[in-house]
Amino acid sequence: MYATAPHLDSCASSAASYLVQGGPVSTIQRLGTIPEPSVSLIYLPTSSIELPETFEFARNINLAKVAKHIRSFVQLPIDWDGYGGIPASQASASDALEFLVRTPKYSRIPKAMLSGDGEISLYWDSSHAYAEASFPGDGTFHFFTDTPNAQNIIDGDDIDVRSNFPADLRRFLIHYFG
Amino acid sequence: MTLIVKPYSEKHAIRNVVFAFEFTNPLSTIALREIRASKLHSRLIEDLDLPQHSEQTAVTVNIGAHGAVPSFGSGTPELTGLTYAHSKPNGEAAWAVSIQSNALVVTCGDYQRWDGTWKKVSLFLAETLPSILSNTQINVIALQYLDEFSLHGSREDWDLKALFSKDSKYIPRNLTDIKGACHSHHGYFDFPESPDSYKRLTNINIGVTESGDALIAQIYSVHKCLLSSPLVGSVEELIGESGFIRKSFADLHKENKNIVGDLLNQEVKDKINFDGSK
Repeated sequence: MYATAPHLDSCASSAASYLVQGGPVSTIQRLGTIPEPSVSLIYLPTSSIELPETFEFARNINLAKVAKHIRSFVQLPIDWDGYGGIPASQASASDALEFLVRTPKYSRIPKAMLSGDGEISLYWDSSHAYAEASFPGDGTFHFFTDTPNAQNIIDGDDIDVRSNFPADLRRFLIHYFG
Repeated sequence: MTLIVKPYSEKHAIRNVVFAFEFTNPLSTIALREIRASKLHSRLIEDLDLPQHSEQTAVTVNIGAHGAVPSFGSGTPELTGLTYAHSKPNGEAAWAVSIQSNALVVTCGDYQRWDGTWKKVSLFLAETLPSILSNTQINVIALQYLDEFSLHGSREDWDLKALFSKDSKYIPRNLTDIKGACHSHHGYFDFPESPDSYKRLTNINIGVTESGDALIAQIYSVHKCLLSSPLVGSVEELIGESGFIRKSFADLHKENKNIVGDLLNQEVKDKINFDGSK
């Protein structure tokens, strides 16, 4: 929703899809800082409700869920997996969040995972294709893709997370996960 | 006593229309500061009659890991949005241009006819899009309408069939039998062009609230083109006679008219000259 009415404060935060507004002065918060409500007004466990992508706000709500998952990796204890796993660095989480907001809106949103060495990855998975982007925490990401017959696969290294989304990865995601 | 159906304004029911563009990459604080310092800032305020300027800011809070104390990022609020507006006496925006880190939003709260509205919107776009496109790209084009009607009469006369068509394919059959507050939210994707170009998201949300002796019915409809690749071309080309932006908005407007035309009953459509205007 692009909020418009009734007053200018609402108008100011027009792109409400990504933004939240609070207090008498409009404040805008980026995806990574969307606050959780302190009191739930919904009786059902909201985590069990899957929002269809056709719901206008679904993309941003689902992105916020992934963002929360990414941030949770930083909070993990050492040896979180029982094999000496280390938590994610703040830098890896920040890079993953920067990448997340740049993922093509045409395609589905990715899921997040953490490897034992503390590197966060985002991935798309189906029976037809797989794609994964990983964030070592130095402001770059690397990615690879896979398909059952190894056709159309692509990869890339040391790409600035703040640069334009790679066109070949965008095409792959739209083709297999659009 | 009968039920009287009134559109939001004398000639039509459109409370506001929003033209929006979402970005592939967020605009940085630096880019927003540059826009504020550029000629565009004064053009919007002085020449395009949007004298009410406001800014949106955000403070980053770093959540401490393992019990560490949370800290503020830079300590100073970052600029995340610029809004230029011209209000109506009731406080709603007659026109507003909002440049946010993730979207450009043009709001029209003073809708007349499509041609006149588009003419003014294209003026705003001709001014603002060059600054946007020099910093980021656009991958979503969206059009959002809020139509509003009030149904006046005693509670026993309340009947949503006085507004909605009982044969509409966009609302559940139950809705026209309801005598009070209710809602119906509906959304779907389709591919009006080749799937390689864009997929379209449509949301049709109807909300009916009770207000004194009246029912207030709002039809909130959103139409989004999710582009398969970012827009390319000059602003002149994109918003020109056969440009992609102009064509997309015209198509979305037409789609909205089809949907709202299907929702309303003929009597209401005649009353607001629906088939002859909008």
